Amino acid sequence: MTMWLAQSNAWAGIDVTRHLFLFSPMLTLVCTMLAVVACPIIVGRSAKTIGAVVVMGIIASFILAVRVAGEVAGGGISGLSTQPASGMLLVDNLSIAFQLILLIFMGGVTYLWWMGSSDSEENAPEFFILLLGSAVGMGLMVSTSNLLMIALAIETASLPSYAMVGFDKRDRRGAEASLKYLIFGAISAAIMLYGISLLYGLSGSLSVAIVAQHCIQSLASGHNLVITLVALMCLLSGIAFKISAFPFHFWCPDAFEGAKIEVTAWLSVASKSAALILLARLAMVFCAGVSAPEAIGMLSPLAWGIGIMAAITCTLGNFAAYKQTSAKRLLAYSSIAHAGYMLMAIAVFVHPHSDHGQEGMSALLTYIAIYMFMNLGAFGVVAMVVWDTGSDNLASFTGLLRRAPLLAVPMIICLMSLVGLPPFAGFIGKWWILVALGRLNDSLGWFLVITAVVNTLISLYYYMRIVVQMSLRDDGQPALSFPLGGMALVNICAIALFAMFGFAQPLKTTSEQFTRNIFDTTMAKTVVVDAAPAQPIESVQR
Amino acid sequence: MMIYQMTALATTILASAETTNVALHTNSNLELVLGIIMFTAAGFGIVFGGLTVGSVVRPKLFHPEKGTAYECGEPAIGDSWVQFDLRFYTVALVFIVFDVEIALLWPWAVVFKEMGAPAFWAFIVFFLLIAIPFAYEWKSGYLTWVRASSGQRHKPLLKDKVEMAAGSTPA
Repeated sequence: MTMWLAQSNAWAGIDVTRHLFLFSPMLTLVCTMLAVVACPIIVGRSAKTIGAVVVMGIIASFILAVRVAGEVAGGGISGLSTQPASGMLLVDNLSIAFQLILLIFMGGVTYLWWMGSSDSEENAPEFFILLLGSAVGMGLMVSTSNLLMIALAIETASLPSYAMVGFDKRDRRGAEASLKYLIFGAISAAIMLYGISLLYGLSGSLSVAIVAQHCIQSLASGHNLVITLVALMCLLSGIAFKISAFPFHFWCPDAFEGAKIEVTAWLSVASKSAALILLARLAMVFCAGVSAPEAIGMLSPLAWGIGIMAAITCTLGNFAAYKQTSAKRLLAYSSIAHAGYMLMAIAVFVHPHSDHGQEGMSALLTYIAIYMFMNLGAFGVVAMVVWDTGSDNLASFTGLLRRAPLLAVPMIICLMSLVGLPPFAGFIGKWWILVALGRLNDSLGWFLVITAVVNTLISLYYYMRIVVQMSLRDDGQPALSFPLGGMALVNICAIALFAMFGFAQPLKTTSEQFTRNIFDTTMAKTVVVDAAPAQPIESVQR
Repeated sequence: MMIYQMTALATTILASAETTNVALHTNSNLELVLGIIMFTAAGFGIVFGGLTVGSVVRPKLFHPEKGTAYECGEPAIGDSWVQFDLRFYTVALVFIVFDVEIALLWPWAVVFKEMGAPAFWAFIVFFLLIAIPFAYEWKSGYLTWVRASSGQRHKPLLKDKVEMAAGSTPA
């Protein structure tokens, strides 16, 4: 196959087979999508059939991703281009690590869907086309450092999400949530595209590495300063929307409350962490481009910017969660707060005096892996309460410890883990971010450490509210009936949280392995800018 | 004549700015801005100038027949502010998909000889990506104009619509 692929000139510089292999996990998901579309034509619209096809696709994709992870362990490639330094897609440890997490999580969400909706759902093919589509978009988001691909990937992840939120056409709240999400998303996408077009105009390149060099030059020299900053802000706002960071978080509670619970769980972890990894990669490329001593000072405001955004995001999320009575909405605000904690890790390696880039990065990756289990468990329990009682109000959690102890105990574990209390994995995730921040040993680091600790204390209250509702209050509601498989799922999540705390050291080593080489492949330092880069438009500012 | 001269000047300036792009100096930058301003002004001028001249010159003879949508003697049914049937959009979407496919087929056909077999298979994959969803759409019945689904509500017939639109006028 390689032979005949290499015959033609246009493909000569690319080892197509290898590149296709490295990209195979996402391609498998696309093929699964096609299979799901083909199902109604060939075998019918049965939800169970569709679910089985999807699960097979996820497993195949996961196996391939594991093999690709072995392939890129020694260093990633920037591929599908004859110019290795500025490829459209990157496959490296980081992107593969995220794709593995994403696939596991998608398996969990599919299982949750199987428990709850597969009996009543008439539109299973459509649901899974959307789910797989957004998964492909998220997989692409983490494996690119090209502005065009970033925009495309964010849209690929977003558009199915809008439709998924309003998937149940008869549900008016879902439709409203979907519309709000869509309008917010469309506007931030427009702003981001505007920023990207400005960056392209300024630097003449879509490769973030080259764009970063131009930006740093203009930041250091003050030439085109304002327009560069505006363009960067616009780009950031598009990504911050996906993270639901502070000024762009408004869609989050409404969309999460209106959506079906599986969709809420999916969006709360997958969409946010994909955007966080994307932002981390961008930040990494920018920092790598800074080598001139006079430009290093330029990073400080950037680090402070991200740090303050993170601090406001998690404080706001925690305070807003205080008075919520809907469990979905409460967990939505909690996910905003957690996005804030994870943003702090990014502030670590943007910091000019930080030699701990990898530390911040591995802390972020660990946090995402842990956060996945915490949220899957918590949303799983909420889902089962909703399926039985029909309401996600906190009142329907009353006395859950008696009504369904096998759900209440994992729920308590997940909530304590979300607070960040030992002996649960949430503590580990938070601890490493705090360690990375503390090692900065300057005002930004300590400011963020104090913010995170104070926020943890605040968050204790509202998570405890659910715990108290479940354990100390009881108004004699009948015992909960729930699917055994769902009970198994949330218990596995709870056990995983214990296990990850117990095996904290292997977890750390693994995530360090997965963030080991990324600082080489995406680094602007290794980029050989071609002899004649396109001429930037001169001095738009004047 | 003046507009022609202005346009000619603007194109010259723009063309020169493009060719001297490698060594942009402040002077040509100014010329570029000037050119853009002139282009914009000429554009506005042609549109609004034409409308103004037309409104002054043309005879003003109103007649109810002239106000109708079709002046060819075909009486209009109802007004155009009705809600369009969703089925029109489905057809439009399918059209767009194949339109885009044709647009992508063109550059592919141009380089097909050089690229050889990989290009063929690449396009087969792309074609499947469109063909399978199309088959899905067909199978699901979204292309059938009159759908035989029992759940659908009874839609008013065209005759009823005409009568409703006619309103108070006696039949």
